[in-house]
Amino acid sequence: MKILGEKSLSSKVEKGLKILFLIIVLLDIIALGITCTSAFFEFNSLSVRENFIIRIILEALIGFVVLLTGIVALFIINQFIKIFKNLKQNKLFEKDNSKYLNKISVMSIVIGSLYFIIFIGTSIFLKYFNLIDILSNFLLKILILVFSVSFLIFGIGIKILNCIYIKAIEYKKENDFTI
Amino acid sequence: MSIIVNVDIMLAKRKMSSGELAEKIGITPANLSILKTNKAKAIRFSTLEKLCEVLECKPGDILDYEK
Repeated sequence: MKILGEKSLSSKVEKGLKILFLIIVLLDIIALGITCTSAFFEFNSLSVRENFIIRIILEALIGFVVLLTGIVALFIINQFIKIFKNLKQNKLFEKDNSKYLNKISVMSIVIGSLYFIIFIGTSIFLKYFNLIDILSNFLLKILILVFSVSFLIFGIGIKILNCIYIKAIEYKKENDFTI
Repeated sequence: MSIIVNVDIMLAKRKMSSGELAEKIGITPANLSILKTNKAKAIRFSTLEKLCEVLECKPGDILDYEK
């Protein structure tokens, strides 16, 4: 199967990523709507509850971080779309691709760090101050930790791959200028 | 780059055109231009051999070093 050029695997992946991009945009909008409405109803119904304001604020903060990571994830997908677009046009060893990979690695590390902050914040900080532990579900905590570590490893992995890619571009340039 | 390619001088000495040289050594005029303008990163021994053969000279006549 052809990897580069028109009607190749790259062009199919690019189309798939564009669809994924739209799906994530829709999911983000739906998630934002659900979060806002549930927060509104919770705020109205829970008038007498211990630490409920802190809970709502923290929930809103976590919701904000989750939405923020969603936007960053969209940015990552957009960079991948650009890379596959270049591959579709047979632009393999381009400096632009390296730039996109670098952005992807930085954004992945940002997402991983944000989820790690949520994990640490909810696990240690809240218990230390005897507040309500929002993420009381153990499985949910583990899921967030796995998510965070996965993104951190992915980001570092892409960073290393980018270094190799930069070397490959240099070798290609050297090869092109060898007469 | 401190390595200087003196193909131009040798071409003038032999009264040969760039196109003719490119054709005789089997490289494209664009690649010969890269060589002449000192943009080349490396030169293959086979290319150098052909250059010497066509221009009837030694590698030292084509390549020079400047500090």
